[in-house]
Amino acid sequence: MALPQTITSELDALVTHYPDRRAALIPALHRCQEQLGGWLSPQTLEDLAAYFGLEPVEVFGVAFFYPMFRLRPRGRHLVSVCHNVSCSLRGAEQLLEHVCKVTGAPVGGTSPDGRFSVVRVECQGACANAPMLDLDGTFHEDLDPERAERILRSAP
Amino acid sequence: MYSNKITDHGTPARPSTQQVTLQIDGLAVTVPAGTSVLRAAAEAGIRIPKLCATESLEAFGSCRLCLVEIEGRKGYPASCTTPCEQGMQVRTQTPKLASLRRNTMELYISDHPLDCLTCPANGNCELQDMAGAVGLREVRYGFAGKNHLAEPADASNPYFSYDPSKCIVCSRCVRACDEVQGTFALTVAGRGFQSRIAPGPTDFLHSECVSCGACVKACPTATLMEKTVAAHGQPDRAVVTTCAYCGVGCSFRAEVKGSQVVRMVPHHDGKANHGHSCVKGRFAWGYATHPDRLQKPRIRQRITDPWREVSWEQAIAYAAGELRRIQQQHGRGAVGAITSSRCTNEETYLVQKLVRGAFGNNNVDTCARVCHSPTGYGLRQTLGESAGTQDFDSVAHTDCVIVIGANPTAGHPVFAARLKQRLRQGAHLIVIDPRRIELVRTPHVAADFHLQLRPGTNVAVLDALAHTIVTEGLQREDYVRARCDVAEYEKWLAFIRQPRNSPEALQAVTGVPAELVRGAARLFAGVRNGAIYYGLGVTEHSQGSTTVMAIANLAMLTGNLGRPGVGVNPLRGQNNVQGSCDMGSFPHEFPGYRHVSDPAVRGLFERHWGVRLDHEPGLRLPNMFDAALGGSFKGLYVQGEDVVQSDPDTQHVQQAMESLECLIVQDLFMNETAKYAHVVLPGSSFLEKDGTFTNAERRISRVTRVMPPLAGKADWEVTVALAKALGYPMDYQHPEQIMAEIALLTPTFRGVTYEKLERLGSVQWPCNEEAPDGTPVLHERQFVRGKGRFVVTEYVPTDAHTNASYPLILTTGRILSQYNVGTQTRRTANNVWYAEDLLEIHPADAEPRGVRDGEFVVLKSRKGETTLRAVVTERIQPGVVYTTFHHPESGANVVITENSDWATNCPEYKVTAVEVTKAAAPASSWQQRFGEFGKAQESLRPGSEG
Repeated sequence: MALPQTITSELDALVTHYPDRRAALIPALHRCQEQLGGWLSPQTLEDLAAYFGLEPVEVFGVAFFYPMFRLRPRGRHLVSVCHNVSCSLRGAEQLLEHVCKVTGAPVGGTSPDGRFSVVRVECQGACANAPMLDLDGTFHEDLDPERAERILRSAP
Repeated sequence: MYSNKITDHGTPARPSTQQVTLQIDGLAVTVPAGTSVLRAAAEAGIRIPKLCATESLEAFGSCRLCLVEIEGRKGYPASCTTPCEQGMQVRTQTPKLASLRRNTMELYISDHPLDCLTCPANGNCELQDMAGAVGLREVRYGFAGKNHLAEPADASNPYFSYDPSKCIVCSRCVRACDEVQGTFALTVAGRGFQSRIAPGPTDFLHSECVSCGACVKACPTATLMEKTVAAHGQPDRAVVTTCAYCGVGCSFRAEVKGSQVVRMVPHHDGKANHGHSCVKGRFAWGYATHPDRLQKPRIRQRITDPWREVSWEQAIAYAAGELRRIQQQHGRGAVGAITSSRCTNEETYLVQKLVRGAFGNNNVDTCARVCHSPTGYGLRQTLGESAGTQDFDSVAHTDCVIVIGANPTAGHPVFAARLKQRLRQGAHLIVIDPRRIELVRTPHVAADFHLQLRPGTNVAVLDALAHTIVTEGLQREDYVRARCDVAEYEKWLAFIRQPRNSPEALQAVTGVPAELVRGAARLFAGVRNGAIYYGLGVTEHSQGSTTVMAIANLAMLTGNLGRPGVGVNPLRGQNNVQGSCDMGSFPHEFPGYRHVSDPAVRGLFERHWGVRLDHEPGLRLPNMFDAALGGSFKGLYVQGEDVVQSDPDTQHVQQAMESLECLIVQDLFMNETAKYAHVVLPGSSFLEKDGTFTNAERRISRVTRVMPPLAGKADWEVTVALAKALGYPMDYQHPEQIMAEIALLTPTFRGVTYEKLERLGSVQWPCNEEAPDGTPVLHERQFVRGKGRFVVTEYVPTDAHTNASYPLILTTGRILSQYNVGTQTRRTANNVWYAEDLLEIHPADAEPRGVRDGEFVVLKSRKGETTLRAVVTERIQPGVVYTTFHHPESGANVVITENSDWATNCPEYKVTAVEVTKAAAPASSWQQRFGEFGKAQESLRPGSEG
């Protein structure tokens, strides 16, 4: 197996920005995750290792270190619920509980129908409008469980 | 209680000409600049607590135990990552440091099971020691919070287990894998409290791990632990000995409980391995006590008779009687012997002495005939000494390495680890091999050039390299003219300059693009120190000796002989190939490579041995087989070689064995040859005897008895008994006396004694009056033969060319986990990695034949056919297939032909014209006969019903 040509040509340009090719590994992991189904499969990690001339385990070590890299398949939508101080004070735990109930996904897991994955995340910088969740990269703020439910139900 | 602890200075030594002096706890200490404070303290006898530091690895600074106070510096720097400076004032013991260390230790222990009494590392655990050293008396945190105590262990590797509940995440294992072994199989996965050691997203068995054991050795706790220690408990003593696998000759501490080996630990002071090991030496020693071991001598009159177990006396008397009967009936020359490159120098010496002294002929040969005999011949012709020119440490000084016809990561893994270390430091690499071997591209190491030649064209590629150097004026003319025979050089120049030797002209023959050859030649000629390493891919050809001489030519031409970092380095296959050759195993040479026709040398041996010696060279190994089939050779004593499985054209060898009247086999197991024997004498493993092995760098190392011989006699004692029964008594009580005799009679060994070997660890021959401590590098001032000799190396294509019936070329090799014919490794858990021989075939060859990955195929040559499973891979080039010969039932050597090296008869294992077809049945007719014969022999074993 190998990385699709669309990705390798992007990586070929990317590595030129760094003094050492392998310094581009983290941005490369992001590109792959974005373009290959929202997660990094063992095959993708191996392909990246081959691309960078690294041992697969080294790529795995980097991917495993950062929580924004997902090493398991995820649902079609990713719901990230903040649980830091401001959000917690304003009901993030109840929000998260409700999100899990509505989507059917456990925290850190995927719903049986494969629609949603739910994760608990650290501060996203929207404290002034706590609590918040991030649905596929879009912030939704000043939430209560009912508003969150409407947002989630309107997701395609 | 026995302690396996070595003096560990914490960080590696830093050689420097500049010295710095500092004060540590008021003591003035002087060390080379760059030395860490931790190491400087250790050298002065001051022990600073430490966990993540060990002297085989670079400092890491993570455990926070080796903190010190330094005058004028803020905080508490880690002494492992702090280099010494002139005038520095260091305090290692203060109340504040004690409190910091105790608190840190308390945190470690708060997430560590308190099961010391039942832990396999109990008594030899660094964590336990450090808890004691820092005076930890209580742990305030309890186990109520988050912890790792219930994490499941990974026992997937057959030899060691990984128990994360005991892990302190010091990263020593990860760093050992990276820095020492260079496999990069481990990582710290996750972060913070979730951090754990992981071999990727899988278990140890299915990961990239090569089971070298470096991580297990580096682990300061019982997290990575040998299963044998868990099973048997801690050892009660250790014996320093030498590994009996490959020609690297690693030094080991055999850790023993009673007479049971508990673990083999690579010896820190071992000069060949510097504390490193591979899966074979480190773990695959269980064959020594395998139930298949022969424990009683056996005899029978015909090979169709059932075996009778008899006493040693009866077996020896029968063997001697048969040998004498044969000699009376068929002449003095009708018997002979084969020595083993797996036995000790002393044992090999005795077998050739037995042949020359008691048989009264020179019919002695060795398994080196079929591996490195061209090395001996080729290097003697060009340089004057038939051995590798360097020590292994030399590789640390090289700037460019040529690896030709060798696969070090599989065949010589500990040397490969050293080589990869040097390559990661920036040395260049040129690989000349028909296969894309692992070195061509592994993490952090990539060959600058891979000259992927067609098998059988080594000489053409080497000539093209030399042609490029000469025609582009890149040679070291001053070196050559000062050190070599100029007349021979001029003759060679006239030859090599010819346009037919150019890369462009030879491209059609070799398949290597000319610009790659030119690039490689310029690279090699342009570095300060260039070294050439080679293996059986050089010697096992019809032009094996020519290739060795072409390598020597190239080294002389580029001035790469006579100092560290350069040289011609044959990687020897077996533990004592060098030694068995040195000991006079060849039919034409006495010990020390002196011809039997030389009256002065013969006189010397006649005086010492008290017998008349034959001045005619005896039979070479293949000639013995031919003579056996011709009816003039009837009796053979084979010590520790399985000729039926390892020699070419298996059916020919089988017929030769069948035509013998007395075949005496001395071996650990009933190997394939023993099935044709009339007398079987149980052999003794390296753990059961004293002696010496000589490795690929001419290093003579002690083999030390760890347990008594299973069958009651060490191999040398058996030869002594046989000699006595033949009326030629040999009087030795201990192998040390044999070595004394060798030293007395062999100029290059004159200074070798057991006392010296034990004092120095090992010595490299020549070891004599001129070099009392041995010779790491040969040809330093001048070549051993005086002037180096360039030899014209005309490329002559092999007879093994392809044709319409046999359109593919078969080449053979080795893999990491199995060793040679597998007699030992097949009786260990190493089979989990390689349970059968596989045929590698390129997709372009597989597809038109309808061969799919994993299917059985028939491999056929003009000599025979066999069936094995195919692996479709691009590692091999189109037109070439590849397999190994580790398993007897695969019969790889059934298809190998009688072609051999023109000078030494070394078989052409590396080039055979073959055809591959889909198999209708998983066994060829040869394999069916092989199976039936094996079954019939099995029914004849002592105590069986048949």
